[in-house]
Amino acid sequence: MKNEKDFLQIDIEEITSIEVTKEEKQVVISHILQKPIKAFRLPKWVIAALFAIGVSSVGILSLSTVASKLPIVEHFLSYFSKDEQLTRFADNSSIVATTSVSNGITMKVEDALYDGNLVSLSFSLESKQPLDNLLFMENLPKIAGHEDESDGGFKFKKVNEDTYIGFLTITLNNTAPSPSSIELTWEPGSFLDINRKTLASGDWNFSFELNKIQGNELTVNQTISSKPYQLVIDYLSFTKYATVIYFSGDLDFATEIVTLDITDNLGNHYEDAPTTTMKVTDKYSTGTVVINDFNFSATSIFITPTIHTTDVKWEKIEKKLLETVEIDLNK
Amino acid sequence: MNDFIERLQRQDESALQYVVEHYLGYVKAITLKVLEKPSDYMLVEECVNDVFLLVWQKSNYFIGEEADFKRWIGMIAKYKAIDIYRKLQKSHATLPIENVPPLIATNNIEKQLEKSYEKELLLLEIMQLTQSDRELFLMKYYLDYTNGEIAEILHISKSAVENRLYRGKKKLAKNPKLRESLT
Repeated sequence: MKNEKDFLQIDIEEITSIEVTKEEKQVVISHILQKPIKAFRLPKWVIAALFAIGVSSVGILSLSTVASKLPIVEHFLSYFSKDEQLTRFADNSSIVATTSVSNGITMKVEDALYDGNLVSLSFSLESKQPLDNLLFMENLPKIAGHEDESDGGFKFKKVNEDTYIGFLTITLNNTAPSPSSIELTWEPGSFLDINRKTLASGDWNFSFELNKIQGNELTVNQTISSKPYQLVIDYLSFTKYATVIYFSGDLDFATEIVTLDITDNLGNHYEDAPTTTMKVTDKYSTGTVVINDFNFSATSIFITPTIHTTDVKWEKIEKKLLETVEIDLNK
Repeated sequence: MNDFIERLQRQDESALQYVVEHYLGYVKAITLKVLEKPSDYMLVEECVNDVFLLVWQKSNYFIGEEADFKRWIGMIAKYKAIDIYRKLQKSHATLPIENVPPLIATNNIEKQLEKSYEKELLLLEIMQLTQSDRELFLMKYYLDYTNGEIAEILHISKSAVENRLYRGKKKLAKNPKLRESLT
């Protein structure tokens, strides 16, 4: 490992320029001139209202996936009760400002962000129909090329007489570094209450492209083997929005779920970082752990997987702790 | 743009665009030599922004031609990146929670900012020294190395370091704001 005295020997005359994008140049110029690139930011009242959302108003999963994902629900609950994510969203998102009207309800996607793994949107609804008990929506956004490979959740809040705001995040499950841009379509369909009763429905339709925000990726490819299980920590992604650990492994999707416990060399324990898994085949899954408050001073992280095994009715769960692996972030 | 330095010193925004267009890749390449971990990503951005902000706000400290400008901005990038790296290393030595000091009082924040501003000025003043003295002074007063450490890095005797520091200090001490920093 290099130390700072090696850095002093760097001969700047020998260093050649690297490629930088137009966007990077624009970010530097904007930073200097104190002119934000965005002409519009998430309105303060929206952020304030979103911060005020309690766990009880957290939406869960799209109907199509809820059956297979119930064990993960609790992770989403803790995930969405965090303020950190909304703050980072407000700082790094782009304007979408697209409106769609159906059945007298005006729906608007305000801002959006894509960081390679997570896609988050803020949206609003103007509706005379009461939507106070909304808990589910029929369809989450779909990403071209990942139609069956994304999952997520949302939260929703009434902010005045007939205006509601929402915030949703979907997770792509990648095993390879993510695309630099994605095409997203969203037809929410219906909004439902806890009893699956339709509160409002319409043919709202959104379609737009999102570019990945800047970030870095660290290829890991480290295997954790403990018969009959084999997991691979594929790579880590670092952006201003989140730090994400990508993994894959031989798991029976019907009866086995993996959760990863993450700590770092500074003693931080990322207890609230949710693990999500996505079925690729019946016996092979990919997954991610999303850390919103990663301490960038850390030089290594420790990952301890637990395999939760059950029968198909989820009546009895057995846990098996696998070995802890250390990932060197200095590589 | 032949006159970009003059225009930069007049705070012409088109000159800033030219400088970012032509030197961002170079400044980032230098920064990445020091802050090379993927997780340093945000620090790289912070460092690069700081370099260009300093260049924009204090371009009147630069004296020379375009070739000298590349060396000037490159040195600023190198030393700022090393300074950030050192701060990061220090932050790794964490205190037990019960030993964490109470919140910083406002006047302390002001003092910190003042100190950091003086450090920026010191960096720019040192950049005006002759090339042979520049790195030595940056190590001593910008990065706070001891004379012994500098002697070891530059492969010269400790007395040669002290001698060169003595001569250089006379030039720098003409600036009253910096006199205190040099004691």
